[in-house]
Amino acid sequence: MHISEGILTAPVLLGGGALTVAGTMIGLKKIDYGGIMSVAMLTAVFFVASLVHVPLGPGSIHLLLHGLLGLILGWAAFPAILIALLLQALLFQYGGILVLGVNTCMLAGPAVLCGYAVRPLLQRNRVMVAGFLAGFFSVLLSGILMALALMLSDAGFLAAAKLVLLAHLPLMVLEGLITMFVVAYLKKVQPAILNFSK
Amino acid sequence: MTLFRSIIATVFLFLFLLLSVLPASAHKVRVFAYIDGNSVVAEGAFSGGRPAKGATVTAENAENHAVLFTGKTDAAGICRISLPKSYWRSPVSLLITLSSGDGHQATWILDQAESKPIKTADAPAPAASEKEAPTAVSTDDDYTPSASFIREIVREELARQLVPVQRELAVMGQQKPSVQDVVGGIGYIVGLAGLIAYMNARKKGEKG
Repeated sequence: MHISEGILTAPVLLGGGALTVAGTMIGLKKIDYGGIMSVAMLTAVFFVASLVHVPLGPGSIHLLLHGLLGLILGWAAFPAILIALLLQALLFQYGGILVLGVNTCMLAGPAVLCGYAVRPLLQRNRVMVAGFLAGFFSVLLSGILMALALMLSDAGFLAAAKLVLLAHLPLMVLEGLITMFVVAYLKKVQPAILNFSK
Repeated sequence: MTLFRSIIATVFLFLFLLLSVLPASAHKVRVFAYIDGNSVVAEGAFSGGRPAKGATVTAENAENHAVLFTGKTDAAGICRISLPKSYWRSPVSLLITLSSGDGHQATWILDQAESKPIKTADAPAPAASEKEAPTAVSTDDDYTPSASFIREIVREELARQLVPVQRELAVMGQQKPSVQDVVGGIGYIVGLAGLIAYMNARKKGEKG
């Protein structure tokens, strides 16, 4: 889920950039000394996940796993996703430098929101449910944000939303399942990491 | 010990992801355009090779970015637009943009030399040496196709035959993420984390 360079108009780009700067500042404040490595590892996971092609549905999509980042890192998902997207733009030519701000807040915003929304479930030990919901809804919300960004620039919202959401429907389920199993696994072997963002 | 375990787990996760990456392809849309007869044909595909259906194709003047015409791709990801006669009088380089509607976009430049019309009414007079060849071969024939006529046919046929080659080149020219890119990216991330950790540690050291 990357918007290519040259599609969005300047106000959308600037708005996305401003939101990303704000989110990243909050995120950086939340990272303490001991958490740096966790953030880095999840950044790397997000960076690599985009290469896993999902040949389902009408479009051409890849894994995102930003729900996982939001669930574990909370606000720190902002700097993590920013760095990963920057490297993806530079190394893989996904997205681009100018749209970096929009792409970051399109992915990190829902990730953070879903992460905090499912936190109560996590504390009540409903780990699997929390993981699935975080994975599922972060993709859904990102799709809606993407359609919104496209609409603000040019294309009609309904057409864009239909296209984006239809293409990402299989991914929502898949991400939900992957996030569910990863979180369940982490709960078993490394429960401390789930308390990263309190 | 828990840190050690989490590192091992992460390494395995990376290896798993890396292995699953290798056969997979990039996620981008690409466009390839060529002139066929009097029309421009644009082919759109996602990097996995799946056709980009219903994508919007825009052709604009590559220099002043005036939009000349637009179209949509069919189920096979192909969009064929016949060019108006007025275009052929003064062919310009075309910038073909394909937008798949879900935030992906790709461009292709058809430069002026490529987009010359196949059939020209006023073909340049062939040079003297080239004129000799056909007349020498067919002295006893009552009909001799002119050099420029043959040249037209050859050009037309060659353009057609070269399309698959050009398409292949366009696909090959796509930069795909390589293992080096992936490993390099992970290296950047780990390095950045190390840098931040180092600066944090120094700050703490200065305070304490």
